[in-house]
Amino acid sequence: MIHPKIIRRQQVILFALVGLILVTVLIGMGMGNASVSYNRLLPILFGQGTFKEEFVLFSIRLPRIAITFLAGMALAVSGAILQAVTRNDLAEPGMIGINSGAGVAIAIFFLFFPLDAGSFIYLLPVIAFFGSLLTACLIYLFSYKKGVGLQPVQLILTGVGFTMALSGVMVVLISSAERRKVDFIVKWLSGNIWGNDWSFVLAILPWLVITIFFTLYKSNRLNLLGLSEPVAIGVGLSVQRERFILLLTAVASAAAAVSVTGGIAFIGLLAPHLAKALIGPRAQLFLPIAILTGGWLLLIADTIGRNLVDPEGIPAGIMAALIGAPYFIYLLIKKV
Amino acid sequence: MVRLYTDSLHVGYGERSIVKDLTIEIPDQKITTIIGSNGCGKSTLLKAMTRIIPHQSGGIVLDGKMIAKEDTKILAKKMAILPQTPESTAGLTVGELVSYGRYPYHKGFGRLTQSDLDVIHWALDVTGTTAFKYQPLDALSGGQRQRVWIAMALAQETEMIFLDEPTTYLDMAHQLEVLELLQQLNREQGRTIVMVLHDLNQAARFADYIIALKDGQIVKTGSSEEVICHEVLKDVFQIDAEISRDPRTNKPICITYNLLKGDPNEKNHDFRSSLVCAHA
Repeated sequence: MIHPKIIRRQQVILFALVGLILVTVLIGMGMGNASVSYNRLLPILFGQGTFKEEFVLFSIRLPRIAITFLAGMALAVSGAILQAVTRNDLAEPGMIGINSGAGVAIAIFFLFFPLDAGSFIYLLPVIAFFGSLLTACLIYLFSYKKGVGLQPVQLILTGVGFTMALSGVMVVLISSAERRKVDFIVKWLSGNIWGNDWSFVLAILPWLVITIFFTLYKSNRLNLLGLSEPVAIGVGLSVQRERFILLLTAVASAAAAVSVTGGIAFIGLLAPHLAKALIGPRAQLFLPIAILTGGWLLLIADTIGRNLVDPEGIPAGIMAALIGAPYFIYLLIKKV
Repeated sequence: MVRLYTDSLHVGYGERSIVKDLTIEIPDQKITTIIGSNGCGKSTLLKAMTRIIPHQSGGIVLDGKMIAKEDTKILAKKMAILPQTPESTAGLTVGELVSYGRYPYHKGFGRLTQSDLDVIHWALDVTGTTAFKYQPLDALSGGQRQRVWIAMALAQETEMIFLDEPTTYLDMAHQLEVLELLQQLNREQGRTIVMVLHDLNQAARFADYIIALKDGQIVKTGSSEEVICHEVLKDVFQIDAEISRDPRTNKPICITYNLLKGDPNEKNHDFRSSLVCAHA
């Protein structure tokens, strides 16, 4: 029941996105503190590079590119699910406490539990992951009403409330901490992609593969959740159960992303939105586009961010916000 | 045998009880209309019967099974619902929306099979919406949109179709169009139609069976001649109605009415049993 033209358009858009992503990756590979000249890229990739060139490309740049791309995709999946479940186009992973929950968890551990530097970096994603998971679960529990089940509006309100409260906790935690530690936390909060070696890529890859395929599999149910509840029930969707399962998927995918990148906003809002504007609201059509767009946007944000200011660059989360905020305002204006 | 009935059904929101101890049977392959004043529980009854809202006690039985315990997807193959104000996603096209009606038959990724497509085309065709197939729903007029929602319900291929005020917001011609479509589906394909209607004359004209509700309880059930009469309307709506016959359909018709003065709560409920109505 879809116009053949639309399906062709989806293919063209996907093809274009893959092209854009490849170009961005290529540009990203060459840019950075230690620049690798573009005519050396191919030889290095085929094992003809010097030790230094290979180290920069394979151990620093490529894992970071991979992590960024994967995290962007995960956030897009999460945002797409949340927008469907809450039937609100302005929903995004931050709304269900992903960023704030992970942030508070990291701050608490960083400030109060002496961890040795070696294991800390690998423990951090675990802490962040469970921090956001716990927050999301609390938000779910508090917005769940007996008899009525989970109502989207309630979820949004509780989510906003929790996020605010956690920001407050964050201020309290930070205000009494040492300067050096605060620096780390603040950088984490602003989405400084810090999980940048291959082990992090391997850690989030399985989550991502599972959540992406699961979400694509649930496309039809996402479509139905976008309609009003009586209609969805009428065609035989177990609304409460699907809401729960999909929310869990959204949380798992965004938490995995945030655990290695730090707090990143707007990608989860922007990517599904752009995709829907391009191809329409049918999940089967827009999800693949949204996923690639999410990865690409975060990749651009990080590529620009890390090259803009020496030596440490601007965190990808801030760059994403710089790109995202104007679009968000545009959305609000358009809605009114 | 009656396929769908309720047995001392209680439905309420929180503490407030809306439908009280209601036992009704929905006649098969007939058009049943539920009438009553605002807040009498007619919409609530419809929603409970279609499992959109839960009920507190009593039972709703379809084909010998309690619907509360039945798998929702199996129910979706037996009953379709058109809610009062269905909402669609912005930008969704008519064809896509109607194809969602095939959900109960989907397996796995839910790709549409040829038989799915045949049903969808038939549903679009019979509701006269084929021309809008690729247009977004938001671009259509109220009447067209309502027909698309009916098409989606039809795509579910159910023997029962429930509609909550399907004629609201439509002009007179479109109201009739929707009701005639439903009548056609009932007459030609034997589908059971259950709907809530506000307009008494439309209810009288199209219904084979009318359920008149007041305060969540039955005042009177029966044919339009039995229900649309002076005494019943007095009890249900607190109106003093002038009933005549429609010269074209020979169905009862309410020509004019006045409000009854006085506190309606003072009315004696036993009054119901003494109702005398004209028979056809």
